[in-house]
Amino acid sequence: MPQWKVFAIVLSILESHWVNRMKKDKEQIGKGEAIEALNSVENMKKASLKRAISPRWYSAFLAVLAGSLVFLSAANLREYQVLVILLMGIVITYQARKSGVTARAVQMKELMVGIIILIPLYLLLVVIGQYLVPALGVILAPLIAGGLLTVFVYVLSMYERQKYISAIDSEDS
Amino acid sequence: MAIPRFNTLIHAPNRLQICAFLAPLEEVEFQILRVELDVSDSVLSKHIKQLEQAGYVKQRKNKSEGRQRTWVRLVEEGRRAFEEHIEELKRLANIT
Repeated sequence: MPQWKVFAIVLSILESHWVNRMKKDKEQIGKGEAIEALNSVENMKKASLKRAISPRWYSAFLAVLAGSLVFLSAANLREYQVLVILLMGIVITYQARKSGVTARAVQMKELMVGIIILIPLYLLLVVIGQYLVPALGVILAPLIAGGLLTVFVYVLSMYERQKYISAIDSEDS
Repeated sequence: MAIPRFNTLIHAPNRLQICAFLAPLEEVEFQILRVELDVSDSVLSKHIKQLEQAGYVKQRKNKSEGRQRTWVRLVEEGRRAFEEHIEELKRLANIT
């Protein structure tokens, strides 16, 4: 059998299969059912987003831990940083287990912005904390630097929280 | 934007709800899904198995506090198939 004939037969089989499938799909669902399905999807998405909202204590606790990293660096107590990092891991794991959901990692763009801002800010605050030690003392200067990072991280987490709440509200409207 | 494509596997009510619940999240514990869907363990297992066989979800088991916990997540292929199905539903419902 010539090749073109084989090709034509295969093509016609594929076409009829595709047309039948399209017909079947169209027959299966009408406008009403599509709307009903979409409503069900919206409700589930809303429930899912509600589960993903972390409590305020969690955001505050993580912010304090991040601030304490700056405090320890500025106060030249870096050997204790590993304990703070360990505690961060425990808190994150505990919250994920308790809520039963893990929020999606932030998008790459947001992650890059976060890294670009947070790392220099962390280093800057450590330097500022160390610079202010002679003027404010070995406790107060690192405490102020750590406090600034705590506030910054807390504000960031509240922004993230607000994004989730806005997403739920937009699903509502 | 995803290309509208009807997906008969995803369209079943429970599986559609599973995908909708998983879509905004990274991972969800099996028991949370069961509570949200208000179905039995076996029913949920069956649907997850079907989605897993199609390559749309993945399960991960871990043991904590002496009991086995199963975590479910929507993989990239499943996310894409779900989005395409939603686009098709919107098209059928005349929502642009």
